[in-house]
Amino acid sequence: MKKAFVDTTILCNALELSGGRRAQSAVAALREYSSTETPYYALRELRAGPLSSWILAHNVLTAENSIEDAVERLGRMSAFRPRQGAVTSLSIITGLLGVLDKQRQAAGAGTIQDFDPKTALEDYLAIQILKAWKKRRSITTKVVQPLACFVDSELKLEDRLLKFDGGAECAKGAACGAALELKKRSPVVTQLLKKVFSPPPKGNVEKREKTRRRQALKEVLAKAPADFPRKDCRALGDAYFCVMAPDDSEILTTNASDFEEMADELGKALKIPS
Amino acid sequence: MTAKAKEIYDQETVATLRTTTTSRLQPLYIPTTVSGRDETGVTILGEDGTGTFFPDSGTLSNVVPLKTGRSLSESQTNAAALSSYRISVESLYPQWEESSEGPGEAIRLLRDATNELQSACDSLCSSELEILNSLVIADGLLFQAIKYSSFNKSFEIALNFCAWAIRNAQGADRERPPLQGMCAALHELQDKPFIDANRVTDLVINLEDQGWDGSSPVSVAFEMALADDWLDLGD
Repeated sequence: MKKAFVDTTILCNALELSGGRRAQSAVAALREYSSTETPYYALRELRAGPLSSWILAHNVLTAENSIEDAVERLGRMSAFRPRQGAVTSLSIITGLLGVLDKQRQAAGAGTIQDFDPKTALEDYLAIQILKAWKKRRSITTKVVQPLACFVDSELKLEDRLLKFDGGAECAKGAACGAALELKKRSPVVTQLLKKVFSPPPKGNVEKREKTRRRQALKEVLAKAPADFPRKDCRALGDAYFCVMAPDDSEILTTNASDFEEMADELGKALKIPS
Repeated sequence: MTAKAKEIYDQETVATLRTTTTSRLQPLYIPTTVSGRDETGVTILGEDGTGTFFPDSGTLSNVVPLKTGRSLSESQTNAAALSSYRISVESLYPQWEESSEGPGEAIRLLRDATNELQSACDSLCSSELEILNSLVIADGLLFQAIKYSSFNKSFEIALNFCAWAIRNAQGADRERPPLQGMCAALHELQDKPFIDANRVTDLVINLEDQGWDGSSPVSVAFEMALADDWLDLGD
């Protein structure tokens, strides 16, 4: 039986949060397996990352008077926010600028439109977000590996804005569920730290993401899950999928560059959809 | 509503009305002020709180008590729940009938669009041109209705999807099942202008499953412009 262990990039693509063709490719890849599994960690990443960026874009657009104002405000926010999520926000700004370009072209061609582009865009963003979150558990045949800390709450539309019921995605006071799972597999984490995440020779530069992941994996080994810093949970990222993927499954992701070395080291199969 | 359920409903409603200060039989009065934006339905309970007649109709806070001292059996409530009984939006919100702006106008335009689409369904065996014309009129009316639908964002989202879906209609969408699916969705919106986001999401997913495509020039432009490396998971 062919089984896929799905990461967040595939989940996002299949949920149509990354543009048309990517969705088709992800759905086609999923159809090749008789069993597909999404870990709750992917839902957590989806909520905290891409989906939150879409929600931010929707809510800023709704709050502002025009698409131009929304672009300006999102730009200011990206400049002041830490790196986390900034690329996503900037990409969404690019998306909004694409819409503005289209509008200018229509105006230049003297086209009269019977719809308000801002409302159309707001409503499109809202329904994409609502659909994605509603379908999050039905993209794969199973959702596995629940995390005690993750609050899998519902989205609601209140005062024209989108928000999650019950606040933050991390249960207050709960130990980090991802750190707990990795701690149970300490020998595998140690193996990754030695073989994949050894510090680079002096003078060599490595990706910031890799440095943060090394630090987070060290924290997993050094601390009890209850003391694992909440901010480091997302830094575990791809390492979580590589460690937690069942041996009889293929890890399905679009992120070849970050997964390959880890998957190779742990003898896990990797599949990148074409 | 089945005949039996309707009989019980009528008897108990009459019994209720006769015990009130109003001596003559009059239509069941539903107050027009509701406590929440999503509450368009009517719930009728027995004194013990078990006799729900319209369980899918929301959670209207104005509950009509039945004073017969008899609760409804499960089969009776199920039969009622499966019934096609609908309270029209005009009965719930009579003030909208005369309004030429806001919800009243949105509902009027939506009703006209629904009728137009229904006529497209009816024309299926006769004229392709009539179908196309009905679709053009229906989407035009829906785009008008969107302008008056700011009273409920979820309602506006649904109208937006339906308007674009009808405008994008391809050959396959002009067959009977998808057209009937769209008619049913528009009827639902007409009946439940205070529909919530959760139900709208189901409605849109259902329409997409039937082949309707609600994308617009702005959504296409947005998706095309999303950068390749947009997926930042915050690592």
